[in-house]
Formats: sequence, structure tokens, C-alpha cells
Amino acid sequence: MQQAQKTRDKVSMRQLAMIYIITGFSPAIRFLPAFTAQVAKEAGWISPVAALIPIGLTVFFLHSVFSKTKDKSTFDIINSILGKYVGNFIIALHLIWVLFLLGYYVRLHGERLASTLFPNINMTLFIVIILSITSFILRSGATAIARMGEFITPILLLLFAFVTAFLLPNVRTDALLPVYFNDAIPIIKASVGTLSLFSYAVIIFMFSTIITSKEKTAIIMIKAGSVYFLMLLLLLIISIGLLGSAVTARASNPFLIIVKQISILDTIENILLSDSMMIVTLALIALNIMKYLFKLSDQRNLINILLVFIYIFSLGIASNRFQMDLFASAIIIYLNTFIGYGTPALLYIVGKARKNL
Amino acid sequence: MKRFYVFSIILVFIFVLAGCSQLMRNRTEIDRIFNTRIVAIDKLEENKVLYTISTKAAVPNTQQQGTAPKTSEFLVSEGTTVFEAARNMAEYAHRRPHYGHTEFIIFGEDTARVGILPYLDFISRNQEFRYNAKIYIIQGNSANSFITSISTESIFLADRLSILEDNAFAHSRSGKVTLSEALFVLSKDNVATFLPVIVMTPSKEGRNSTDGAYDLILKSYAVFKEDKLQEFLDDELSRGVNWVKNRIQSGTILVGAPDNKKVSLEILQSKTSIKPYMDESGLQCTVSIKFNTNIAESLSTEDIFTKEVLESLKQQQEKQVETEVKKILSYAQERNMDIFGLVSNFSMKYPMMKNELRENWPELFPEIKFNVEVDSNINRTYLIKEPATSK
Repeated sequence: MQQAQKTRDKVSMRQLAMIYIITGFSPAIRFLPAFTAQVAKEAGWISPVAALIPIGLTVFFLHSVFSKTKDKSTFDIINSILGKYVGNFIIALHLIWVLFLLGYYVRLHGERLASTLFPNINMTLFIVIILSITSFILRSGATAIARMGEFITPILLLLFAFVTAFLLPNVRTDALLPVYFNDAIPIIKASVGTLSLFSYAVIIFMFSTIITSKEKTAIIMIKAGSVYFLMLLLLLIISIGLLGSAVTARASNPFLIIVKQISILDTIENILLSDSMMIVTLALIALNIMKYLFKLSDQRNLINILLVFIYIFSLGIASNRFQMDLFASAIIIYLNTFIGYGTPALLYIVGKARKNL
Repeated sequence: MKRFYVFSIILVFIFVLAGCSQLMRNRTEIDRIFNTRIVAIDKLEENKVLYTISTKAAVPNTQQQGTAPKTSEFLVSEGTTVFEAARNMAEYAHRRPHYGHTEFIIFGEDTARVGILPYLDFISRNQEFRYNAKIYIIQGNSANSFITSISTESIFLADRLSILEDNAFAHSRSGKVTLSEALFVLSKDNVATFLPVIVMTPSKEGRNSTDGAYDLILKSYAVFKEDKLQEFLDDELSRGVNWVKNRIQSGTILVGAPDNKKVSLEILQSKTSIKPYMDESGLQCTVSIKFNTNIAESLSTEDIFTKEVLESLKQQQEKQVETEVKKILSYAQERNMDIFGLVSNFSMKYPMMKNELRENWPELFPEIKFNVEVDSNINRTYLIKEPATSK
């Protein structure tokens, strides 16, 4: 039984990196161009560069924490560094955060389809469909989902490369420039958006209890982070560079507007692929945390309960799209940044102080 | 066995729900969709909006074999807002309008004079429209009467507009402006914009009578301050805009041979660069244009392929382009309308001052000293060297 469980849960760092790229792409498309254009106007496209220092530091912390503890799960590492009570509190905090994100992304998936393609259809239909698919996928375990990620990542990258190649020649330089030192403060403020997206790196380590090749954490994270960073940069250049900062800032999905000029189907497939992966990943992480906290032998019994809860939560989280946007810009961004960067820093500092690392 | 049951259930659902149209209200059979290619908006009195959409529809062909003939179709409705007008169409429309394939957005002159942005809100917000639709202004007419007068059974307006747009390279006196470009410029402070103009004229004698009662002319540009139409440019000024904005593709320049007979030069490649700079006398800007031409026609009886004559032709074409450019620059400065977006050029050159430049642009723009540099080359001619009129 335990052997079968191990086989179902074993994932490599490389697979985690791919899941990280796919899951991060969905929120990036939806929120980053509009947010950065709103805060830093035409200088918004350069804001990911300003986020590099905190991201680099976090990679260093994560590598220090995880690379020397090959056989332990992420939860065991947190508990061994912070102690049982504080550790469990931090893990429970992550569970609450993940449940928030899950409800938010499920609702957003429904909202996005209702506002871009099917305005006359009840959004709950999309929510039920995505949750049914999630329920089906979750039963196959972390290993199968990680393999699915390996399959999806090249498709996603290829689609994005095609879209970028078509759009880059039309980018207007006067929409992206001038950028000068007097833009430094807005650029730093706008970098919170990128920081928020990179914050998912921490919870990705909770994707499975058995992660192989953790000794390569730094190098794999740097590779995946570089690919993701380049994608964000290109996403911002083509969004702001084609529409201008004012139109990008007021659009609910600028990337969709510009890609519709090429073909609508590619984009929707692209977004849906990324959306479903994000939801599946978050749901699996929530199940893993619950399994650890409640000391369960198998988390599969919780799948349907979790998804029913998410269904109700996603409908109750906001009464309309405007509240959702406010929720994202006022709460989620800062919560992501606080937990996503606070946890690795806390683990590193306490681990060093207690000589656990 | 479990898989068999799952598979069976899926199959049953596929067959049973095939006609479940109420589940997805947006789902419409393709023959019931009105695939809009032109959207025309006019402002009526009492703040009402007249909304017209047009498409090309196939006529059922029951008697003959082969492809069904096509005809123009349009739907018209009124409302207080564009959206309301679009929805009011449902009262009588025989098919459901779909805007995913809209290529042209047309405004009548009167509507353009009061401002087009309020009417673009619906279009830029609606999830079906694409931002690469092109915007046109109808000179001296409403957009509705333009569509209803031009469209006939044999002539489809969107096809004619497409052809005019494709052929605009030949004269470079107009061009296309997409919704995306228009929104980009209209969102900027202190920058004016220009949109292409279409004029309806009674069909000239000698034309094929099936061409309809009117001819369309893609003629020049209309200039806008904020979102309100100010003036229509003449041909020379419009080409001046294209020179400065580096939008020249081809065109004709007429110069004189030594015997005062006309020589037609065909513009080939053209490149404009704008170099802004600042000194103690204020803002200055050099507009450098480089272009090549070919000799396309000569009415002269003399040999024009001598070094001296070619040099004279070259100087004449440069002078002509310089005049066109200077005219449009002084036109824009006199009216204080930066239709070239020069504030961006200056901001890029002096990024530290971009906020001051943007804020004070209405005072700064009319004072800019322009320096126009034109450099050209006459490359070659085509099949014959000697004029056809030479003995």
C-alpha cells in the first residue's frame, strides 16, 4: 500500500519546475500586463527586472533549506526547523492561503470564459466542468499530474513562441519608451506583480511528499525561473507595446485582445490549458497539506469534499468581477508576496540560528 | 466493465444532448448568424444613436447548380446608446448579429465632429470585436446613408473598401488606421490623430452601369483633436502626413523635363527619420526623408537620361516632397495639433523631461523649429529608354 502510494507521489525537481511554469502562466496572462501598465505606465514592461533581487534571494533560501534534506517531505522540513507547533501553524497558514487561491482561480476561470466568450451562459457551468475535470485528474496522483505537466509545458511554450513571433514586429517603441531613472519608483511598485507570481515557487514544493533530485534545487529553479522571466518580459512587451499603457491598464485581459488579432482559438486553448493546470496543482497541494496535518493515510477520500467546498467558496468569494479584481489587487498580490517570500526567509533564518541547515 | 459503463454514458449524452440548444444560449447555427463585416454609427438628434451593420449573404439557389450568389444585407436600428441600438436590432433581425469578423467601423461626418470615443466604448469593450478592425470617416454624409446607398445586389461594400485599402499604396494619400492604433493615440494627452476618409461621388459617365450609382474614393485623412473631427486634409497635406509618419509605400511625383513636358516618377522605397533636439533657442526637429523613384512615364521628346537632366529631375522631386512636408508641418503648428506624435520623439530623446514636455506640449509644439532634409535617387526606368514620342 505504502509502496503504491510512493509510486503515485514521486516527482522530480525538473517536473516541479515545469508545473511551476505552467501554473504561473495563467495568472501572468490575466493580471500582469494590466497591473504593471496601471502602476508604471509605459515603463511597466521592465518591472520584472526589478523583482530579480528578491527572487534570487528566495532561490538561495529555498536551495539552502531543501538541497540538504533529500529524504524529508517539505512539511517535515518545516517542522524540523520551526518546531512542531510553529511549523504546523505555518503549514496551516499555507493551507488557508492555497484554499483562498483555489477558490479565487476557480471563480476566475468561470468569469474569464463568461466575459470573453460566452457572456450569456451561467458561469457555474464552467466551474462545475473544471471541478469535475480536476476531480478526475486528482485521483491519478502527483506523478501522473507531473507527467502531464511535462507534456503540456512544451506545447504551451511553443504556442507562446508563435504568438510572440507574430506580434513582436508590430510592437510600437513609443508605447514602451521612454524609460528613465525617474520611472524607478513606479517600476519598483509594479514589480510587486512579478514578485507575487514568483511566490508560487514555495507552495510548489508541497506538490508532493516525495521530491527527487532536490540537491539540484538552485540550478533547476534558476533555469525554470529564467524561462518564466523571459515569458513575463515578452508578455509585457507585446501587451503594452501593441495596445499602449492606457488601453492595457483598462483592459480586463489585454493579452486576449492582442492575440485575437491573430487567432482566437489558440489563445483560449492556451489559457484553459494553463488555468486547469493551476487549479489541479493547487487542489493537490491543499490535499497534501490536509493529509499531513490530519495524519491521513490517503488523501483521495478528501477530493470530493474539497471540491464541493471550493465550488461553494468560489461562488461566495465575490459577487461580481469587479470585486474579484479588487480582491486580487488589494489582497492576493500582497498575501502572495508576504507568504511566498516570508516562508523561505523565515526557514533560512531560523534554520541557520538553530544550526539545522 | 467500469470503463464500458463510463463510455456508454458518454455516448448516451452525446446523442441525447445533440440538440440541447437551451443549455448554451450563445449557440447558434451558422446559417442563423449575421456575420457583420461593417459597423456604421451615426449620432441622431435627441442623443439617439443610429446603428447599421452590413454583411454579404448567400441567396438560396434552388434552380442552378454550383455556388449560391451573394448579396449585400444590412440591418439598422436606433437606441440611446450603441449597445441599446445593437440589442434593439433583435426586434426584427432575421439572424443573430456576430461581430467577430467585423473589418470596418464607419462614422458619419456629423458623428465624428461631436466625438467618436463614446461610440468606441461599446466596440472596444465587446468581447466579439477585434482590435484590428479599421476605422473610416465618411465625408459629407452619414455612415448609414453611405452603407444603404452604396450596397447593391452586385456590389458588396466591405469588398470595395478592402480593395480601396489594398490600392492605397499606389497614391499614399491615405492609409489604414486600426481600432488598436486609434485607441492608442486617443488615450494620449495633447496628441491629435488622423483617420482615413471615404467620399461618395456620383458614378462617372462611361463606367459600367452595374457598378452602382456611386463611386467610392478613399481620400486623404481627417484630423482629430482629442476625439473630435476638426478638418479634412487635402491630397497634398495628407501625403505630407504619410511622409512625416513614414507611411509612404508608393505614389507619383510629377516633375518637368527641360522642354517643360511632364515626367512621372514612381516612388519606390521611402524612409523618414525624425531627430528631435533642444538648444538655447528652444525645441528643434529635423525631419530627414530618403526615397527612391523610377521613371514611369515621360511626355518629353528629349532624352532625359543625361546626367544634367536626371540631376534636375532629382532636385525637383526633392523640392516637391520638401514642400509637402513643410506644408503639413506648418498646418499642424498653426492649429496646434500634434498629429505626428512628436511629443513621444522628444520624450524619448529627453526622458528626464518627459513629464514637463507632456504637460506643456500645447505651448511647446507651435514653437518647434523644423528643419526638413530630403535626399532622393532616381534609380532606373522600365522597358523603354527613349520616350515613345521621340522620332
